[in-house]
Amino acid sequence: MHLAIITQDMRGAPRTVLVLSERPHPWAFLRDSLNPELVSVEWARPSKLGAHVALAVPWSVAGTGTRPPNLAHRAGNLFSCRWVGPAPDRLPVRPLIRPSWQAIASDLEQALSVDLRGLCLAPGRGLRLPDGSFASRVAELEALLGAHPDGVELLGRSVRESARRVSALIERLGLPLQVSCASGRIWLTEVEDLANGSAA
Amino acid sequence: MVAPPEALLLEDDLDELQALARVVRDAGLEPISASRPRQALSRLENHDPLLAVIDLDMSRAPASGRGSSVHEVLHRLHSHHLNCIPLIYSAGVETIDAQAGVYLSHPHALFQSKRHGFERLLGRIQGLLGGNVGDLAIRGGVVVHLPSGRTMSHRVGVALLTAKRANRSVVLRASEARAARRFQQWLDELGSPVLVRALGGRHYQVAVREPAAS
Repeated sequence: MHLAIITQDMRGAPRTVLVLSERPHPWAFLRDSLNPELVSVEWARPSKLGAHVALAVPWSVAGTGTRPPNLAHRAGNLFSCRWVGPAPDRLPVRPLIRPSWQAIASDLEQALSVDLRGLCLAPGRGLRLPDGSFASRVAELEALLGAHPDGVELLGRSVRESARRVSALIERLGLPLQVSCASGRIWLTEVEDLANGSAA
Repeated sequence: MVAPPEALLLEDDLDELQALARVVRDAGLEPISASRPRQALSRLENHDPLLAVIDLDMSRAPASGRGSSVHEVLHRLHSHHLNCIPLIYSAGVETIDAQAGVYLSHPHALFQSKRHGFERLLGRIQGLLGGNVGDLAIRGGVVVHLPSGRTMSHRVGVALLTAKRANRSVVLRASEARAARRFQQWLDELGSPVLVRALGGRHYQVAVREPAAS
């Protein structure tokens, strides 16, 4: 029996951080810094962002340089974005500006270990639910969990459709969370926070 | 009778090639040996290895075999053999630029420097092929449930466990996904905490069931 021949299909592939930089050093640094059980680190030069990395929606993007990468096909997708130094104008998500790659690694380590009322990222992909069970095909919720508490700000796009999808998912999974959105930003809120009036 | 999983070995040092073949055979896999890239590409026409151990430096390969490059082999593995884990064993992978060069040919290659010696490489291979996942291990090319000693020889199970050891998922076709479900049934019958997770998009990975939160 042959397991392949299968052509590339990265949809549903393990969670990835996509590093956008002309030099490979940030990729190697993050690859060696982050827990490989939880995330794989991909790399592309902004000038050559190719289909081999573009097929999968990254869980997070980290980049440097002002040359705009071609991420137009990712417009409307939820993922967090961090940037070292001045960022290009045309990114689909507003980046969090960080002073160094060490700071980005630290951010991502923290994002990978978020535990929100027992909800956390499962190895590979998917979520570990508060009762210990596993949920797959929840990429948007994974992205928002990793971006908690700041959330994700989509540029030039409404987040209402994303918010509806994530809300439906939260309801289906019976999670004690709610999704909030305002001014292009979308974020997760614990239900008790809402009761205290701390969410938008 | 299920054929044992295979490992592609691309090494231009014939002594090392033979030693690698012994290790792979001891681990229960069938070695597919090649001493030059063109030969490796030819082997891949008819084989689908689970693991590929590849030396980047082909300076000892006969000139007639250098028409193709190691990077072509890596490209082929990435485009046609998604579940194969390439392990680059080379003196030339210690710099980030060198690793980036390999990455562009195959983004999921693992690296093992020749500077650390052959024994370390063997340990790495044995770790990939023989390490435990929960209460399961690969022994002699089959999955063994350690508490009961029962075995599962289907190749999908071996591929799933090896991929887990490399922190990767496997991509399965429909018939293979059915085999993965049978593997899950076998695990359930044994009361194993290991489970097969469908990650979506034909990707599967094994995980060890975590206790429910109190």
